[in-house]
Amino acid sequence: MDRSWLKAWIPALLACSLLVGGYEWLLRSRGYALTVQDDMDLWSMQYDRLKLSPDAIALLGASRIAFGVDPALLSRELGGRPIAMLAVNGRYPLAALRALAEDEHFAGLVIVGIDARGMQRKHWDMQQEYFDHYRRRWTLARRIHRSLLTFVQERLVLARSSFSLVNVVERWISGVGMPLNEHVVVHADRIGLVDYRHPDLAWTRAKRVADLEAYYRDNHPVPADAWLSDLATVSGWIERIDKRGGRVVFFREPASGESLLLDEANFPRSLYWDAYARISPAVLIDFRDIPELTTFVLPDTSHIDGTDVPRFTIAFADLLKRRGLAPSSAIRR
Amino acid sequence: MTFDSLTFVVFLALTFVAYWATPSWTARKVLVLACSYVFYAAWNPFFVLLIVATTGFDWFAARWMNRTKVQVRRKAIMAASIAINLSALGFFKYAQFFADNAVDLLRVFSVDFKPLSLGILLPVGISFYTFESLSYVIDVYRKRIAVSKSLLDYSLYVTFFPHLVAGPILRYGDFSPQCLEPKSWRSAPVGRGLTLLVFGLALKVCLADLVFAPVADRVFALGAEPGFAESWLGGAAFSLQVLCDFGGYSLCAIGTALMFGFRFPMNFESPFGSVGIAELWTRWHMSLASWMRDYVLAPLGGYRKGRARGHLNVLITFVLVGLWHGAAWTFVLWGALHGVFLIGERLVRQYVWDFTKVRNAPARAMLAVATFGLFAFAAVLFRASSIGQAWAILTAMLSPWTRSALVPFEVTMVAIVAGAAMVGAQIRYGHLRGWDWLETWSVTPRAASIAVALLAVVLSPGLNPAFIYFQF
Repeated sequence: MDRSWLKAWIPALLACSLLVGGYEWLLRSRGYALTVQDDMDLWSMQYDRLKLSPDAIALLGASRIAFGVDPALLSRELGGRPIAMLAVNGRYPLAALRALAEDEHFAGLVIVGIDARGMQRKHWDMQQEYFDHYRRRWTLARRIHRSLLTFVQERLVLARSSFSLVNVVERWISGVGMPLNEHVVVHADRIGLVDYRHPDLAWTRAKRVADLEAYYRDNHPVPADAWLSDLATVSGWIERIDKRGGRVVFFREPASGESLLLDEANFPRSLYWDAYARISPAVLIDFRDIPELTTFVLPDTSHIDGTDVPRFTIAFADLLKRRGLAPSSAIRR
Repeated sequence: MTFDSLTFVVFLALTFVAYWATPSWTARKVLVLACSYVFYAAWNPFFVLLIVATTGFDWFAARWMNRTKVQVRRKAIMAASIAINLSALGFFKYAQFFADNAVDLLRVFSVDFKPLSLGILLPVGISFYTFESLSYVIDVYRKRIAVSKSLLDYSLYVTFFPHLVAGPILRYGDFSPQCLEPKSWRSAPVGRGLTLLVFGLALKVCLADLVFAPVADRVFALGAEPGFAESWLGGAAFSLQVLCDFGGYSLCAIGTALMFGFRFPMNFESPFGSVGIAELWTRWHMSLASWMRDYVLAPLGGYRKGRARGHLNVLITFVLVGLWHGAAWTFVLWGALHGVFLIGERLVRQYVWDFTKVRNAPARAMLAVATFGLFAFAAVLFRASSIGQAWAILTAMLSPWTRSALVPFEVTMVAIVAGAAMVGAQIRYGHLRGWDWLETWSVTPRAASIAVALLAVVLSPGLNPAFIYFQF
């Protein structure tokens, strides 16, 4: 190798290391925490876990499952069955249920964190692109890349796309300062732990409620009979999983305050959730029927604090065991 | 496995160390060939069989052709090889396109036919390695190159991983001599190669993905209705995105090959410093442009058979350039529009004003900007998802009274500053060809440029979108 290039590369690497180190220090000093950045590849790694055992557990849902149930702890509580965290923040999960119904190899337990709003037909396809990504683009090369990227993101704050130099410059031009601190720490198994002790809590809560109000203002609920009629298709998916020896549980996760009031005003439980529970081949569980699940504080009216995740996970595992929904692999064998 | 993935970092490091640690030259070539198949299998292992089969067939066909003295038989062997290569390309890349158009055509005659979904997966890089195979067989037929005596060398020519999936499109005559001379660690331009690799990555992950793509994506989003200024901004941003994406990829390929002691031809040389579309095509995707010149335009007769026939030949060649890029009418129209630009430019230069002879620097700069504008105008057809969308944006580009606000101010500003700097630099330094000038720099500017490129790569953690030209 030409020495002149070696002489150029050594100071370049030193200068780069110093600047990168300084940037990392700056970000940490501003309170940004290490977190894995969730994406479709990380999701696909979780989907691969379903192949570890035919009786694996699939956790479907949106943010309430993703930020509420610790898959590693749940697995331990349920005798070591492999668990795939397939919930996607901000997207309702029925496309995932449909894909699992079509996956002839899957015969495990599906836990679907959902509410009546998310069961409307117009929300069915929200997670479809994750399955399309898995089927069309997921390769061994991507798996290696994602594993290495996770390793880096677990060690460097700056490895998140929001801290890219271009994004920081654009934010500086628009005068909004550094990227928003989301106070969510995501782990390699996709559990997200929310820290609600931050000073922006009042703003976060008000924004969540305002967003939900705006949603219901712009999206009138489907009438209960049409809603139920649409769910006949969903029942077909559930029956396909049942026929292979699997089970499906629909779980209405905890909500409180204005969020719960708004949901109830638009989708009264008796007309929607309970009506489907009477005809559905799935088991439907509403948190309001489980006393130990109603004791959790929901700082933003919709999600539990990260410090409550272990307690919530254990309570949820106990519930599954009590209902006979998740016998451990050893017992099943 | 893309160049901007961490998987490639590991792959390259392992292959590089194993390559230079292997003493025998033949063993090194076998090693690189095996690694190249692993590299290709990372997308779809099944398609390795396809590339092995076509490589073997073309190698044997060329040898058979070389042994045969009867001209008719030689021609038949060449035709068979071309037919098989083009059939594979046609099946994988164009079958769905032709099926869709056949269904549409039948509908015109009131024959209602259910649209066919063939579900064919496109092998990555098939357009590139098919053209390399074709050029080899045709050159052997024309006796421009000696037939390959080594299946190993020929397989390496087709499969060598830096150029396998997105070029540059190599010629066997340039590559084969490099397979004969054993490479030495001491004389290999490893440092320069590594530098070009990092420069290419910086172009891709920082400029293409984070600066220009966000503008183009917003302007070309389905349902967006860009006005005059944003349509031009979108066309310009997409042109620069492709340059940084594909030009960046090509630079990575050239740099990676240098690290193994192989030299690839340049694929982009300051294209936006060009005065006129004809010059631009001598600097833009140069390996494809020269391939089309040698294997399509020249056999058609070029301008040797008269002016009108020459214009038609240019148009046919550029329609095929468009079709090579993708199985969609938007690509065909993009190619055709470039053909029209070239014919129009030739007529203007012949009958009105030969603007290429202008020597005044500011005037040349203005002409280069105008050339860039024409390229950006046509780029709308390349990027649009349908002819309808392309038409709407092209119409907006000609309607100065239309307004829109799709792209945030700060995103626009960053793209404009970066774009102006890139186009300005290409106009100012466009006369510098290749990368040899880099060797004339002293250690300090070299170190500074490497540090900037490294920082751009490290501080551009994005969402890792695929290289644009991988779809071709």
